[in-house]
Amino acid sequence: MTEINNTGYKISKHLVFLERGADELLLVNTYECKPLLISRGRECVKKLLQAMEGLNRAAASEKFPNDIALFDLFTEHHILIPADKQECDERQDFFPDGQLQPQGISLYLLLAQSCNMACTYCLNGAKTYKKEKIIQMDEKVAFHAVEYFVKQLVSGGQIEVCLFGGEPLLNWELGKKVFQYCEEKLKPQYPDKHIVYAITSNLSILPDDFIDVAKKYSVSVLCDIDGPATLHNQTRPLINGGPSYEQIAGHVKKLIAAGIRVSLRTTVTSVNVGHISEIAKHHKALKGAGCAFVPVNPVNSDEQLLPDDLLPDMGVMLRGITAAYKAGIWDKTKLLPFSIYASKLIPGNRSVLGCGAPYGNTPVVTAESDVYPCIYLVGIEKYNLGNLMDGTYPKLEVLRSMAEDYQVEHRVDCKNCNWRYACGGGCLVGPLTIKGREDATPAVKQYGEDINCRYTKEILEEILWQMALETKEKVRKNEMSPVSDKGTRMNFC
Amino acid sequence: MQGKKPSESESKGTSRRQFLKQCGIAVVAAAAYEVMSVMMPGVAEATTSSVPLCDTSCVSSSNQSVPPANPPKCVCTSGCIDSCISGCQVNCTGCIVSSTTAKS
Repeated sequence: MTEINNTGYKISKHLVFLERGADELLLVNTYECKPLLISRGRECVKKLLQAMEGLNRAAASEKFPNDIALFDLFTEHHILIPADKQECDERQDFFPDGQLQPQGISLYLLLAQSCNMACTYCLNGAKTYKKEKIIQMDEKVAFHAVEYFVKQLVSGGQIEVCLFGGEPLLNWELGKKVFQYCEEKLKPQYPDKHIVYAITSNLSILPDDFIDVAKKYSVSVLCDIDGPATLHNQTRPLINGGPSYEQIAGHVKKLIAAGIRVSLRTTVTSVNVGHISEIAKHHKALKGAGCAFVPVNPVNSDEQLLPDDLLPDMGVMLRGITAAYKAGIWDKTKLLPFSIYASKLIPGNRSVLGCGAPYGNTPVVTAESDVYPCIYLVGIEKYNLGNLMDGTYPKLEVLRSMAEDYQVEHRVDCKNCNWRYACGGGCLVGPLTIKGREDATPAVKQYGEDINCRYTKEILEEILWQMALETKEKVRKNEMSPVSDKGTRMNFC
Repeated sequence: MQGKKPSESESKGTSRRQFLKQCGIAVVAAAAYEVMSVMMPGVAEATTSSVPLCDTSCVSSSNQSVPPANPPKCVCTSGCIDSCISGCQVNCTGCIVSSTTAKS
């Protein structure tokens, strides 16, 4: 239905113009996300849009009688919005009740902070993860953590308990106890809350009872395979320097054959960036449940920067993952980052932050029961949210400061960007860990900015075009005359 | 009074309109341009499906500031990629669609 507005319409300040090919244009108000595809007549439509700004419907109808249907589409899609409408979602307080009340939590338990591999880009710093001490979480901390966060969850909410590390299978006995504790104690006690399980493991080891336990509790597994053996072994050697691929791939196959969901992830570095489609096919051949490409994090938990020569070229990476996406090697709902970024484009979904970490939705609990907001921030003292066992968690001021400083309306690099409510400012790791560091090389600074902004924006663009293409095909397949042919003549173009 | 029997092209146009409407697509065409609304996740399916498709293993770590009119039960916008791939990679879009559908 056409909105009655006598004061006229203005062009949304969140409008993104995407051009492709000779004559196509995609118009998206990222605050509302109801895109409009101009499949033909780009320049003409742009001129009409400019000319219609300031008019109300009656005036538009009078001035452009043959194009009033287009005016209606502009307003229905929030390309033109009422002149007095404000499109701003600045938050004053992210925790007005003074507490966290998440609807969903991904809880990471660092069961073992040491690892049996020596990946070239490991994000666990030797100092912060106290690797030399071979620290492992104990039962008391683990049980307290799961109970605490299950309790914190709102009724009807869901928690994913993710065994993480280091290498969590080095403390598998505790992992099993955590599942059992959740099943036998927490689920009966909190029947209104959903508990699911996951493990992120290198799978270089596989305990004898892993398959039975994983099946029993429907544990989903995430494992990093950085490509076929020649690529994978360059970045993910065992701790003794030996190759890890054969062992890991063997275990992956074994789990998948047993019916366990194993998603495969690739950390993209300079080593494998030129092989993304090949890796996507490799993951497919291994029969992974999903395939993920994640740009390497340039800073570890000790705040040490990765060498420049390990960072992937952003252009090559984007071209590679886009090619893999378009090639249809994977169903697009199973290819990350596309699968996750698509959800940012749901109409009505506005992101003021790039992820749930500043909301306290992705707590990471260390073996010593310190809590951090994200796995990439573990060990960085200024992001320590307090200790679960001594009762200092949650230091809301840390989350509050992250959320308020980094909400899109407050970020100098975002507040004038038309994309801001679609991307929410992207992944915060770059801005939180690299920005302002004097020891960061220009290359690492640029990379940090790129994974935060360019990467997100280009992935979103690609998804939007893909949706536009699908729409166009749907319309074409049903080949008939246009729905509306009122506008047979243009009096402007 | 009996109305005029629709011609074949008119019937075709009506069914196409219905089809496109079901899909959430509006098309405006003129000599100089053709414009269509883009189907977005959670729009087309919500009008046609009444079967909840929500994947119960989908983890919600919402980063939304303003929930949609019918807030989905699961929002596949977890705080970090690892949790997304382990918890939500099954079908993020389906999850949200189904939640919206279930409530609509």
